[in-house]
Amino acid sequence: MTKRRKQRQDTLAQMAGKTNPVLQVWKNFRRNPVALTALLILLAMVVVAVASGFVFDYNTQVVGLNPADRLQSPNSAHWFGTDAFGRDVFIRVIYGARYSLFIGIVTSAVSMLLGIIIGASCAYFGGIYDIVMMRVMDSIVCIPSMLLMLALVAVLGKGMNGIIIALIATSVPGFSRIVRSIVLNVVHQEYVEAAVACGTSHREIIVRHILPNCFGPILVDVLMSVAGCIMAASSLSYLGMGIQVPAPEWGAMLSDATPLLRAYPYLAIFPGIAIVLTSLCFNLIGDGLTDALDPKNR
Amino acid sequence: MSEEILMKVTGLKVVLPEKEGGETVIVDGVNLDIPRGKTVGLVGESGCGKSMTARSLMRLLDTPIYIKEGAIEFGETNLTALTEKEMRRIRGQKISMIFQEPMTALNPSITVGKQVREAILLHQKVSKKEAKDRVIKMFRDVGIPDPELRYKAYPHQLSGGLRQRICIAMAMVLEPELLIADEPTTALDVTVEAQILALMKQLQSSHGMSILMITHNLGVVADICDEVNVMYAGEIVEHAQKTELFHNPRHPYTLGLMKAIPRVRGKMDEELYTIQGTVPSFSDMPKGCRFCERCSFAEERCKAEHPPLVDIGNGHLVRCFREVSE
Amino acid sequence: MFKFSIKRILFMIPSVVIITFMTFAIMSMSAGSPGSVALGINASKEDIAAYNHEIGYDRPMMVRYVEYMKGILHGDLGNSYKSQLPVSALLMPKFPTTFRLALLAVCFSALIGIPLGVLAAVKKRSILDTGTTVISLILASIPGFWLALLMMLLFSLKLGWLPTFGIGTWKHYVMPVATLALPSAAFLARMVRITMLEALGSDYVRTAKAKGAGPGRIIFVHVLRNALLPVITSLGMSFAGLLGGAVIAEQVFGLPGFGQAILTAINEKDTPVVLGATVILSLLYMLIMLLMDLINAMLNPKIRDNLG
Repeated sequence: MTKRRKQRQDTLAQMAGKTNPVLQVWKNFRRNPVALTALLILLAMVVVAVASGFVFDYNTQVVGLNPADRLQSPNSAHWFGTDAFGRDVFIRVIYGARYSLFIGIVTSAVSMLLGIIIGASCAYFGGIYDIVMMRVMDSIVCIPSMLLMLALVAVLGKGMNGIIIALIATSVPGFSRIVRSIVLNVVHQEYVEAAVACGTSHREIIVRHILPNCFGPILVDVLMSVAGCIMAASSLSYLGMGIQVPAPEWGAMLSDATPLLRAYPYLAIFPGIAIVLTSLCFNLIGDGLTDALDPKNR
Repeated sequence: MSEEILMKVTGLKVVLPEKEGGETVIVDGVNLDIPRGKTVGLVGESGCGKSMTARSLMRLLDTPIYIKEGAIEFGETNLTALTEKEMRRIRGQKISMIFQEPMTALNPSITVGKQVREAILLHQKVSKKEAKDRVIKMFRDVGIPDPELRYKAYPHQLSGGLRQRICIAMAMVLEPELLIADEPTTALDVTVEAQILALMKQLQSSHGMSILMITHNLGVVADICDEVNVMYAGEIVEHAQKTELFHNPRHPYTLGLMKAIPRVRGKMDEELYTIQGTVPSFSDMPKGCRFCERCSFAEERCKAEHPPLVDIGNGHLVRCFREVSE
Repeated sequence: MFKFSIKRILFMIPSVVIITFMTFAIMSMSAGSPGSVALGINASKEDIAAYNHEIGYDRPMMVRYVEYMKGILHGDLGNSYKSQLPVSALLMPKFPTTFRLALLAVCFSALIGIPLGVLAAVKKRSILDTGTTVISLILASIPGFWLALLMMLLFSLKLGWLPTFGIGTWKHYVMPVATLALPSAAFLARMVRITMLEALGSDYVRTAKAKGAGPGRIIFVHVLRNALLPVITSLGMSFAGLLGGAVIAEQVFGLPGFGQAILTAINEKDTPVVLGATVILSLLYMLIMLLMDLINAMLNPKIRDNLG
């Protein structure tokens, strides 16, 4: 069957109401090899991050260090080498995934939730509430994000809680703006007007027309945001403002590696690659999802 | 009829290649004659290939669509054989085109005067001042009030009708031999449409140019065309002089189109007539006559064989087996 | 145009108030007080309390805030807790370095990003196009400090072409600027590609072709001015963002700029310095956005008309 003929059949099936739109998006996504690979890699990372506790024993292999093993280049015993304290870098990088994934996902999810509440309520109620809220959000955006995060960390204290709150604070204004404009955009589409004209109830309009069209773009933004949060968190840790040593967070590991850069460059390579790989996966999945959601491809 | 033929299109075949090899035929062996000084209509519904035909005449097809076969003889030259650079010399100067959407056809960031002036400067070595004067004169000819003022206007400051006049001015400023108009009035109000059509008729007689009018509106055809081609699913199915076509439509599709025109003096509760069925998609073209599934006169022969164009006298061509048996 | 500017400046005032109030409130929650910073951790609680009282630190926050705002109007950003020197005197000398860094970064990112984006759009689906997309995606996933480390590793330590840190010669600026410019250029290239593709597909391009215009003319005269308009605003935002984001580059390469001053102040709990830096950078951001809006208004005929 030629591709055109198959597309026509798909369209006819969809018009007859026989397809599930979510399934359709997934089918489209599957056809994108790059995005699919990224998704698989990411899933593998999550599995590894969670299962690492059962495979490796952090205490014996990392904390129970042997000073004689210090600063070895990558070899068969220690795939990524060892650091200044004799700790196995490979295991530390694997454990580091927990921090990054956790921070990235939690921050983005909470930010998006808050962003949806604020953005949707502004779009829905409008008026003074909308004006004031958006003005506050815009003002927060005026403060350079790195600076705002540093200031918040200074007040809230360094460590996991500090950076999560700081990251949320910098992400929410952006999200609320995006959600607000998406909702406004959808609400003013003609098919909503048509639904109202047909006498469709408000609840039905929201559920059947507005939400499905908003969901996709919002999900894409969340994914991109995770990538950004992972990078921002590692940057903060690098500056000493985030997760503190001796936790095996990738940014913190790179901070340790910097003074030893000249003599032991491998220490700076692997945690960095981990950050880039994780970010890249989220970005690619987000990109793939954007293409899969494009109605022209459905 | 011994009149000079300005453009002779023979066997034009336009295709869209598929990603997995194979191709979709959009324009299938179209023959078209455009006499000098006359208006030729190309009628059909959306998707029949009439816009593609028009664009191929100026070789303005977007890749990957291309002209697979056919000759487009314009005077001494075959346009399909020209290089892109040579084709550019023809566009805007010997043959020009106006499009359907005056709202978006003009660059929003450049004044309309400069855009029309560009048409001159692209082809002729004249001073900017002289070109500007010619533009203003052209504005006056197409009925734009306050031309000097309008020269400096931006597209968004003008109404749809005025914008279309600007596009006409742009197309006519170098006095082309052929003007291709792709549904130029579809996006305009009826009263504005009447004005634009009147303008085109007037310009045609004063410049002696030919017009190829693409439209789906038989009213426009009745207004300004001298001869008409009816197109369906990538083929010409009927060709005749205007009066002959309206008095004696022969192809079932043409008959259906005529019948579908709502009549003001008809019965009050009469349902609007529609031709049942839909246009076959280009990838699913039937083997026999392409109109067969929607035709009330269809016979066994129509499904199996593809009817050729036959001349039934007076230069009236029809693609239907009913004509052959008579 | 003038009325427009005045209106926009007036609009900025509530934002300034919100920003300063928020930052002031956040900073007030900080653990450090003037006394604890000035006298050091070994000072007794009574001494610290007495110090704070003398300065007036124990007055209600709103009172202190109003005083702070009054001070801003005179250009007085308060005094550092640590050194008691005026914040402005501490921060302003560091500003030129950061400013230069951000400006150079924006210029280079434009010089690299815009042509790449244009080429990628014009030669769609070519190797150049896919290559640009791939590189952009990768650069967008690299944290700035790691890029800086890699560059330092390669160009400074292994090849020895460039100095490791500090300022002095133009060579000292190369890597910091590159660290900031490259990700920005990648983002710009992607954006330009999108706006170009949109412009290339529009009807007026078809009209230009029908007039007989060649591809060169179409791109340079017709498409670019429409495609680059949204990019200008992006550049402005980039610049403003870089002023703050330069922190990382300054830290890795040891440049004595704004960012470094802020980091030191945070570590020493020197709140006025942090507060002052925030105020300065935020005000600058707003001014730059205003400038961008003005430029947009001047260049876009539709907006120009609506202003009258």
